[in-house]
Amino acid sequence: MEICDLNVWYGGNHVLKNINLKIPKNVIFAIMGPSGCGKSTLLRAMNRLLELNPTAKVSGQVMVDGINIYSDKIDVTWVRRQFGMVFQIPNPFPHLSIYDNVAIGPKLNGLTKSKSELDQLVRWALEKAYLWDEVKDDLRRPAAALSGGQQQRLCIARAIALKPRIILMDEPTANLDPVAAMKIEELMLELKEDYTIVIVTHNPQQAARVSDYVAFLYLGELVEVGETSQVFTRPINKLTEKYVVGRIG
Amino acid sequence: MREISRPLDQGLMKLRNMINDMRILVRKTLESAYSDKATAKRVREMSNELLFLMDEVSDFAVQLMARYQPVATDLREIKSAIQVAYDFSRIGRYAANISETYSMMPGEGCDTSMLQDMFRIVFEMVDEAGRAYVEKDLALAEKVRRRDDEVDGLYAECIKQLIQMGGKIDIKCLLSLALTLRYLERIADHAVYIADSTIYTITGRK
Repeated sequence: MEICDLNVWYGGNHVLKNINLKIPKNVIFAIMGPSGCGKSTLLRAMNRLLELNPTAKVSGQVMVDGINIYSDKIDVTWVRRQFGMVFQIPNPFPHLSIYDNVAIGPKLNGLTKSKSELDQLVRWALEKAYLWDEVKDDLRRPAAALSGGQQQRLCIARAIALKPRIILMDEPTANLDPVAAMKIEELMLELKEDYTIVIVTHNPQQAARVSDYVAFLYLGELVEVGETSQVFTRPINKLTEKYVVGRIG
Repeated sequence: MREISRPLDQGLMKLRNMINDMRILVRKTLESAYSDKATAKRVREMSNELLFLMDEVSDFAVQLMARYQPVATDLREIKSAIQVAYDFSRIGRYAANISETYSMMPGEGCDTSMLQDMFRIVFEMVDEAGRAYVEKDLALAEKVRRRDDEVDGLYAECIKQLIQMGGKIDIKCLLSLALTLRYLERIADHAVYIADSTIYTITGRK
């Protein structure tokens, strides 16, 4: 994925300024920065989710496998299908069963031809999300009955059931206890074998633990991008240094 | 932009003070080893004290890493503190070796003048490397690195002279001079390692 000269405004407020980024395949790419720096906006610009906000204006290009997803010729539904998205607060459909939470996307999109094929897909997604063993005995339970960490993994299963190319995660562990958060991080490492993962985090330690590459955003500008090992041992920019060591927040 | 003061800052300050204490003690140990004012036993005690301080530095550094998960310059400084404390303790150990070697030297007829230049340069290198580290002085650290060639050249020259003198001087005298030269050359290496750690702390370059 490649982002070229991306600018975003909310009304008159210029929130992302000339962002240029290349995100390689099958990596975990973290976007970090203090609250309000534009990192969630950047994530939402990647799958055209910003269009749901009537005050948002976007210019620039987001290229996925050479296709500009902001091109007039591109169907926005197709765009969103390329991306799975996981949010800060786990948001399964609370009254739907565990099974239906995963099955609803493939059903609505006609991805499977038979019940058994759908069953297989649900099982595959739940296994991939490290949740199958914990829920397989009662897939009819409502999703709301699961713990926060399990609900988040269910959301990941729901996202990957649609076979996206890229998974976008917006602070996916911010509301989880450390053990549940660790499971999600472990899962991310497993998932990058098959997907490209872009994660937004306000926690530099999390970026250091899980990501291969990291971008630091500050006041809507991209300050530094690099391999995580480099950024956390010898950041090039003084501002990045101050952020990762916790001198600015 | 307001910068936040962090609990880690106090820990780093304490670590710097510990290293500075070692720096001062290592100077004294080295001076005592070369002068006749202190006995070999006293120099050995100082060397043991440096060893003890090195353990304290490395334990405290590990504690800081466990508690604060430092990154970037903080991480580099802590890693370097462990390394520099080790270098200081090694210099202390070589100083004790020098002092012990001196005590075996025959009192009469052993000319030690060839050690003077070597000792002066090595002492200056240790002093400058220590100051460069605590004052984060990149130029001074780079100067120490450059002086290593000077020491190596002098060492080779002195060894050549000793070989030429072979048979003409007392074997105890010859051995003591050769060993002391070797210890001084090793001390210079550790001064260079301290300079390397300083450069790494400041720039991230090795």
